[in-house]
Amino acid sequence: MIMKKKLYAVLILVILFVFMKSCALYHFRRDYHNANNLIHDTGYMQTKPFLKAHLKNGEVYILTESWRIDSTRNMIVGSGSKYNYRRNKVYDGAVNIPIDSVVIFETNTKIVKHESGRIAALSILAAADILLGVICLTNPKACFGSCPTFYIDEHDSFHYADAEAFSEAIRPSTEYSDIDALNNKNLFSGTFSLTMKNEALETHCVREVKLLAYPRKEGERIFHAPGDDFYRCENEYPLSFATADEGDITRFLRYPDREERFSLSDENNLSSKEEIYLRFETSGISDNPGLLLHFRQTLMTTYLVYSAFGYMGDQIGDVITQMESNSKTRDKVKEGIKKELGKIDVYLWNDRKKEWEFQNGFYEIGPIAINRQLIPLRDWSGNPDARLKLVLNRGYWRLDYAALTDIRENVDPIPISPSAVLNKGLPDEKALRDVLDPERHLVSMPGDEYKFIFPLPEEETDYELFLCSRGYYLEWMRESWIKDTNLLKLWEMVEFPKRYLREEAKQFKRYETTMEQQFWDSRLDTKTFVYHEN
Amino acid sequence: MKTDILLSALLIVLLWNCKAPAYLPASGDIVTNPWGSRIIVNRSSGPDISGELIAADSLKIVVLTDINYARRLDRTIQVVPVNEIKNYKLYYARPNRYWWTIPAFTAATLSHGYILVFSAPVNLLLTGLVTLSNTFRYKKRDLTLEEMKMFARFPQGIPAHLDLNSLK
Repeated sequence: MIMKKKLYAVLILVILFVFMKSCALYHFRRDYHNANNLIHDTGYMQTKPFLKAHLKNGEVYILTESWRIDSTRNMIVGSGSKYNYRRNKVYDGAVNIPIDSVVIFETNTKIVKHESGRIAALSILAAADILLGVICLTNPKACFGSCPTFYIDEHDSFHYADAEAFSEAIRPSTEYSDIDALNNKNLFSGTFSLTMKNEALETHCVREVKLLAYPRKEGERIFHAPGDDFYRCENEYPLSFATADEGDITRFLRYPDREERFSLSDENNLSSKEEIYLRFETSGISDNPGLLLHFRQTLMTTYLVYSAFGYMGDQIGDVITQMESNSKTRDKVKEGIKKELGKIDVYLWNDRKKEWEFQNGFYEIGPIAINRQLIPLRDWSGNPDARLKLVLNRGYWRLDYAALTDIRENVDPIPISPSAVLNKGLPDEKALRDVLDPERHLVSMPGDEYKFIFPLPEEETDYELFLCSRGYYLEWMRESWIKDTNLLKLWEMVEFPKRYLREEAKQFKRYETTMEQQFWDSRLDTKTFVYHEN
Repeated sequence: MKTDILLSALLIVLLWNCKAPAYLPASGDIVTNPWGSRIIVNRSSGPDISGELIAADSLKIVVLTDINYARRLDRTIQVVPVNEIKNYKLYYARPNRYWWTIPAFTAATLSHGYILVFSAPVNLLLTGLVTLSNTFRYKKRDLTLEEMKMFARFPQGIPAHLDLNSLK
């Protein structure tokens, strides 16, 4: 009898133990975006591609068949079901959803983009409409950050921004002048306008906005080179063949069509080089050619910069102060990872010496606007086959176009200050005074737009135009960054960049293929977002 | 005999408490579910609330409560200030059921001989418990309020001009 009672007691204890274990938490990640990744990673769910689009009015579309993004019309096109706010199904069939009407997307299928065709979206896409309080829930390190963006046509999509200004100047002490080619069409007009937007959670402090203009005749172009030289050029000699590790990449670089070539990072080391070989059709080329390249960065820099902010966490004030007041620290920060990841180095084959000769390197920070620059080539006569090599960091650069051009002369463009600044369509005298006075800054808050009007020297002359801007910007700390405080990691990043880049590779890989879409979707819409009345 | 009855009663109680509402999807349908997840909120003052998570922000959560048959209460909208939330559990899918294991494993105990007297009820209970185990759940320590909003019917927040009472 006693034995039986003891046995029952043991049984009850076992049952209670099993109950606690069986009702215990399924081993799920903590963050929703991780949980969502896990949901999507399970095989039987991944076989069912879908898209959920939550609209501002509370309705939701669930697209279960194949769907696609129509980037021309800015719509999601596919078939699926629509539910009203009471979650009654109100429609089944073909759908066309304006992207602007959607607040949040949820997807587990590849998004095929015209740039690459290689972006996979296994994440929640969060449109950053601050008014609805949803910002970059999935990956704070992909939140849109941009420094000031400039548009010739203010209605252009941010994918077509013409310039992004002083992207490296993330603190007052790093303020610098930045020159960007605007690649403007022929214009015969007395004035030219350029719109500056603040499309991120940043404060922009703009000291100066100027145009640099040089007259061009038909068939001529003026190009900007590293070191801020300018060259008047003629003729463009197209690429005949280009190869990289993946094989023939000629079609990506032959035309300036925004169909870019880029590689994914090395999963074992973010600092890892690759080579691209170029050959050109050079019939009739002069003895003084230059290499023209259209390029921009991937989001690796954004990831690293935002990681650094995260490591600073709630200590950011102290850390930034130290950087501002200590030049040694500033230099370390400046030279460490940037130097490690490097530029797009250009080599020319010297047939006499049978070796590659280094020419110069392209470098411009920023993932938004395409940069168009020229590097003059030395000792061209020793290269009858027009062979060039680019050495660059894997996963760090996007290339759109490569060509050779004949350099005619070194030139000095004319600097032009704005004659007016418009804010919401009305002249803003204070803003104009701020950008004309070298002792002041025009301060721009999230959602702000300013239109600069420049008077051109002669109405009947066509000009090649460049933006020359100077200033700095301050990132607003995201709440999720503050949680990442890790000063030890920051120290490693600054003192041992090689080791840091090796150790961070796998972490970056987790986000690499999904960051792209999250980055673009977290941009602020300056038409609807207002930080304050100005 | 009395003990077996008690153990069976325990099983029934567990079964009842782990019952899933209709708006909670099967695990295979999580990704296409248009409703919010189920949340059970323990409040610092007042009775617990359970129902569909409608929206959440830094100040409050909005729940469309489940029908309470015992108290004959219909679904209502409850707005709970964040500072009144003591604890919560959020369920985003129905548990996977393995009902077939119950008769199979229990029948297997026939081979246990004398021990069958003890192992049969244990098997009955254990397989029942495994079947009942709800693996699609978050607790407060696993999910911040910021993350919770993504499990709401309206992850973007309550749409402007929406009458919450019309959700019932």
